[in-house]
Formats: sequence, structure tokens, C-alpha cells
Amino acid sequence: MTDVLSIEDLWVEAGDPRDPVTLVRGVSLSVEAGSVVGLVGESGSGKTVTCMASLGLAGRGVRITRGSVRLGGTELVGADEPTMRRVRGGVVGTVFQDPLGALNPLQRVGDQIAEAVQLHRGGRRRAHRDRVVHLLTQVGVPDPARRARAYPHELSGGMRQRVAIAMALANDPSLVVADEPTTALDVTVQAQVLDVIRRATKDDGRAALIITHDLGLVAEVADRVAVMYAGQIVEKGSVAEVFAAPRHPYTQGLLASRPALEPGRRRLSAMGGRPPLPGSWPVGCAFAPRCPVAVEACTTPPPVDQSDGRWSRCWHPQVESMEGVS
Amino acid sequence: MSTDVTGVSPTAAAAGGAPARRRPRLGPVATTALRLVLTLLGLLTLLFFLVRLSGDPAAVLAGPSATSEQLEEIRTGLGLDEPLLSQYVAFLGDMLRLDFGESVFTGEPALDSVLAVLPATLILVVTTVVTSVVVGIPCGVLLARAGRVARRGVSFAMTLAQAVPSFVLGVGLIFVFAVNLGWLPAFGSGTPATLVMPTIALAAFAVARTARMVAAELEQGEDHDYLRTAYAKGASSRRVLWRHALPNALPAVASAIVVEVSYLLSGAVVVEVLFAYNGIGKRLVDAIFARDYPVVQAAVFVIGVFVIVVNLIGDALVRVIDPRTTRGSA
Repeated sequence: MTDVLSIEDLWVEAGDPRDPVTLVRGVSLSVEAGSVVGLVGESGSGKTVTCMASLGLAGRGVRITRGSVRLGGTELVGADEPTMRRVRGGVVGTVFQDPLGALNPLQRVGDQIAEAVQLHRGGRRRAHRDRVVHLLTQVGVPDPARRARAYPHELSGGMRQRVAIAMALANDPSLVVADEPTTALDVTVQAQVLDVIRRATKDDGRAALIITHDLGLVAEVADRVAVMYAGQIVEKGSVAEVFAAPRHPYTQGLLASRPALEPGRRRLSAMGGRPPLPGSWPVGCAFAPRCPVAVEACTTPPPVDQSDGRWSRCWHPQVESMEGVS
Repeated sequence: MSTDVTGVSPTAAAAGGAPARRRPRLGPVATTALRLVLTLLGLLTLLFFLVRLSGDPAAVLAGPSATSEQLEEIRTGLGLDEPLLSQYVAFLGDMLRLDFGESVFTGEPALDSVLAVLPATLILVVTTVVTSVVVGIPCGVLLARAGRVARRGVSFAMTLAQAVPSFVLGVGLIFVFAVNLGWLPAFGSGTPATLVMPTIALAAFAVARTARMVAAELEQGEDHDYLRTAYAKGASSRRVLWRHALPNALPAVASAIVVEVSYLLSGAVVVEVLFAYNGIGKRLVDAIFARDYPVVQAAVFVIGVFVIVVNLIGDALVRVIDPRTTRGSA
């Protein structure tokens, strides 16, 4: 299968160029056509920065210093503005975490979706009214023609996120990047929005990169998963393999700290300590200070272990499957 | 005499008297009308006491050589011998009928003499507001988005415009453009050319304030997610600025400009006198110096009404720009 998105050895830094803070160090990640990849990690692990920097949306002062980002055959690192504008919204649609903040409060939501269409297909906004209604129907907005005339503050959180998804799908992109798409929503709505995302990606054969800290979401919609810690990917692989037998102790910790569905099976374990902040990452394995199985060797950078077709960045990848966690 | 009678909302005070649970629900029109009436009442009360606190009008009118009989006669004639309360009631009655009396000197109805010069001031205020919007918004965009050198330059110009008082700027303008270059008339009113220098003198401060306001709003809104959304849709940074960032800065800027207009009137007093521009400010100052109290009262009343009307227009404008103020959440 061909890769829609291929990030290779991406390094990102921010702040004063004379005293930069490294946010992402050497991330390689690819998304095959039609597959859904979950990028998992705690806050500050660099998962959002990796994606936003790749699309040139990370904001001022965030720079890619090394690496390559290829999207459908186009190199994005160092690409000029017209190329980036054509890619953003055209080849890749983006959904953000907070749907209220992500919509312009002064414009009707239909106009905002129409703008996304207009930016890539030209014409007047009014000419895209049918397309807007079609998109809103696609994401399950009831009474789409009327809702298109609403302002963001007049819609519920779930409806707003559906609008944001419709906007991301406006030009039938080959990749959808969703940054914590359900985190800001009520629990009852999360499942519905997740369903919309699944239909728009997996079911339509559209590739997606979903940034989340929610392993349940990954298990539900993703085919592949990449786990980030302190600006690096520490483990990646198919969701089935990684969830059944995580190799990296951090992945194991994450999976173990998920509440089990079966009651009374085991105590909920929580990882001790906190992830280190960008700028204070240790020379060796960044997870070593919290790792239950750390040894002397962990003070030096760990190698990538690719035995049995798996991928993890650890001195002694765990090979036994975990008990009590599916 | 103060012209600084901005539209302080008296609704809060008025509503506070009613029991919390059964507060009468008024429509927006009724609320606005009530606010207008209460603000006007406050203005008139202030006016009544200000005139009576600034000395004995009778003594001033009669002059230093008047006998006590003459003084008494004037007092009776003006109703100044009555108790304060009945004077107040009579005063309000006159105001209701828009009867401000006649100018002590010309005998012309005071209100008419003020209204005759009102259009001149309105034109000056309009040109000033238009200038502050047309020049201030681009300057604000430059302040927020331009390169370092341009930003420094604009920032310096704005600081200068805010620091130099309008009468100093006005004198400077007269010196350069009227005396040295002879391009513009130094004083007078009625022709477009006479508007140019008063507008510049009056607008300099407003331009700088508008620019700083726009810049502050743009900078504050810089990391709003909807701007990132616009970029993510494929919009250019120019489009993001003009279609998304700037419109969202406008409600705050519009409110600031409305407040600015109220202050502009006190500025207009100075500028009109300086350029001998025949507007309401000059009429007011002339009347104060001449102790022409009916005209003073009429001028302050008209300025007060003007400020109230501007505030109402401003509220309506913000409502038009920002849908969140009129349309409740679903």
C-alpha cells in the first residue's frame, strides 16, 4: 500500500534560535492510504507538535530543523506558501480539539464550511450551498439547511464538532488529521462524534491520523498506533499487536492504567512520576526515571528493536504478553 | 462647565429597586427608552445644580454697579427667589417643553441658537470618526503585523499623536499649512477646506487610540483557534487577517470608538475655539464667557443628548457586528 503521509526523522524546536527547546526528536511515522493511525502520548510528549509542525500550523517560533514530511508525493518541509495552502484543506483536512474555539464566532457555520470549499474550488460562497448541506448531512447534522445558518454559539458541542469535521471533509481530502477530536466533548457525545469520525475515515477508505491520549478511542477506530514519549516515538505497530503484547515499558504502563471493563479483575495501576518537560530530557532513555525495569544501560540512548516485525525503542523490550489486559 | 457627560447606564440602579424575584421584564426597545429618559433626567439635574453652583446668576447679569433693588428685580424675573425645589420642578417643566429661554444678549431662543451651529459640529465629528477608522485600523494592523522597522515607525507616530495636545497640534498645523504654505485657511467654517485642520487636530488622538486598540485586539486574538482553523482550510495569512482576525477585533474597537466620540466633543470645544470654527463647542465657550446661561444650558443639553444618541447607536452597531449579543444559544 502506498503511504499518504510519510514523516521521516522529523526534528522540531521552538523558542529563541540561540537557545532552542527541542520538542520533537527524530519522529518517523507513516500513514498508509485508507488506514487510521492513532498517535498516543501524554501532554507535552510532542504528538500535537509533530502533526501541526508537519502541516505548518504549529504557530510562530516553532521550526522544523531536520527531516522530511511527504504528503501524497509532495514534500512539505521547506515548501512555499501556495503549496502549503493547496495542501491544507485540500489534501489534508484538520479537526481540532475545542470545537467552539475552532469556529469563528462571527460567521454562520455554513459560511465557514463554504469558505473551505471556496478556497480550493473557487467561485462564490453561495454557489457551494448544496455542497455545505451535503457535508452536514454526511456528518449527521439534522436539519442541515437550517443549521448551516446558525452561529457557532447556537449549536451544542457535539454539533460544533460535526461542523468542524464537515469543514475538514469539505474538499474530500485524502488524509484527515484530528487532534483530540473528542476530548472537549461530553462523554455521551464522544461516542457519537467518534462514530462520525469512523464513518468519515475507516468506512470511506480515507486515511486518518488521530492524535489522542485515549487508548479506548485508538482501540476502536485505529488500525495502527504510535506511542510518543518525550518527543520520540517509543513504540509503533498494529493496534492488535501493540495492545495484546506491548514491547515498551511505557506502553505497558499506559495500557495497565486503563480501567478494565470487567469489574473486580485487578487493581487499577497508575504510573508513578511525570513525563519530563521539553528541554529537560535526559541523555538516555527519557522514560528510564519512571521505568520499573530500568537498568544501567538506560542512561544511554536506547536502540530501536525491530525483532519479530515489531518496533520499539528500548534496551530490553518486553516480550511476554501482559496478563489481564487485552 | 463639563461636557463629559457620557452615557452612564442608570438601568442597574433602576432595576436594583425592584424585588429580585419579580423584576419586570422589558423588551429591548422599552429598556432603551427607559435608559434614555433616566439618563436625560440625570443630565438635567446636573445641569440645574451646576448653573446655580457657579455663582449668583442675577449678580453676574446685573453687573457690578447694580443696586440691590435691581438685583431683586432680576431674581424675581428669573424665579431665583423661589425655593430650590419649586425652581427645580419649574426647570424640568421648561425642559420638557424644550424651553431654554432666550439668549440674554441676542434675545434669540437659546435652543435655536445652539441647533443652528450643531450641523457644523456634527460634520466635524463625522470626519474625525471616519478619519480615525480609516487611518486607525490600517495603522493598528501595521502595529500588530508589520516588520520591526515599520512597527517602530508607526508606534512612534502613534505615541506622538497621543502625546501632543490638540491645541498644540492645531497651532502647529496653522503655522505650517496656513501661515507658511498658505494651503489652507487658518480659521473659519462652512467650506470643506476649513474642515481639514480641525479634523486632523481632533483625530490625531483618536487615530492613535483606535490603532492601539486594533493592535491589542489582534495580538490578543493571535492564538485563537479559529485562526488556526482558517489556516488549516488553506486560507492565506492575508485572508485570515482580513476575514477572521480583524472582524473579531471590531466589536471591542467599535465600543472604544463610541466612548471616543463622547470625548471628541470636549476636544471639539478646544479645537473649534482655536480654529474659530463656528460649532457648538465655540458657541458654548462664548456663552460661558458672556454668562449667557440660557445658551449654556441649551448647549450642554444638546451635547448630552448627542452623547446619549451616540451610545445608543454604538450599542446597536456592536449588536450588528457580533451575533452573540442578540442571538441566544440553542
